[in-house]
Amino acid sequence: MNEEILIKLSKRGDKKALEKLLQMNYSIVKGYLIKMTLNEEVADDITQETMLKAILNIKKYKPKAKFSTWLITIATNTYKDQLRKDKRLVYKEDKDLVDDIDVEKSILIKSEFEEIKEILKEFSYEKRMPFILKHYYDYSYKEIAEIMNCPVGTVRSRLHYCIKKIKKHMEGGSDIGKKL
Amino acid sequence: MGKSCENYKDILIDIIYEEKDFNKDIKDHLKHCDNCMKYYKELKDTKNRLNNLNTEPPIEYRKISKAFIKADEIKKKKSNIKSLFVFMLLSTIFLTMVVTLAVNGFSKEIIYFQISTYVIFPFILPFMIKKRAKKEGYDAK
Repeated sequence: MNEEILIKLSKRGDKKALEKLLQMNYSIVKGYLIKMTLNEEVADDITQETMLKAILNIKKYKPKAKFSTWLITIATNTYKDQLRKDKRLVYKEDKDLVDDIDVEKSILIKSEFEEIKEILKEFSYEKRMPFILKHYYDYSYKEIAEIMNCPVGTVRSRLHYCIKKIKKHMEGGSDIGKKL
Repeated sequence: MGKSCENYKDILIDIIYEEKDFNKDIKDHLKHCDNCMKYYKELKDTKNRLNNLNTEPPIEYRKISKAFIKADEIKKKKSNIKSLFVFMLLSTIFLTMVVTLAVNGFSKEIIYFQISTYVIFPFILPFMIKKRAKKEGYDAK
């Protein structure tokens, strides 16, 4: 059954259809939150909260955007709310994401993964968000602007800022570690 | 005034993220500018290296089911609050009517109404319980 039919059924109150829809998009939402929060435990909690909000508000969903985009918007807003409530979340770090995700990654990849994680950690979430949505999920500037509720120009400049900083860091001329 | 290399570098970021087309102007510039060509290659390399963070977590079916259970609880709670609010509203309207009628000299009629209610109520109670049980989703027996 394709997504369009599942959405129609879900909006009519079909629990099974909604469950299937959430299962289809679970990995996208959790993957996004892992990259955003850089903490699997926090990502887990926010994913759960996102699923709950999606179930409660499915009737409000308008299919003009993809279902995954709607879920990512909910996840983004939930993460922002959590940050407002608990500013310590930004710095919370308790698990090795590489070990959790793929134990068989080579040492080289692992160290690179750690490096990327360290770089991303240095960006504020407002800057990290457009980068993650663009780089890993291929959203357009316009879609990201809608998700983040900010102008397209801001999305572009934040993405450019992140790319330039990451590139500089990877080439060894890092100024990562300073407040970005 | 033509574009500076800095402008082209910004456009190259948009190009590798497919926000802009690789047009003739940029191709011509890259042909003649080693610095921008190097920048373009480095950008592509950075983009590839960043993909190492692209992990796909497994679907946790149990957690999705849990979210449904929690959503049902929240919906039930909301429904109970709504029912309580409707009950309070109807009670207030009813009480106001009774008081207004009593003040206007209809006390006798109110007493007759009360007596008939007490007589009828035991007969309609089982139906009300049955309906509620059906709504709550369990057998009344």
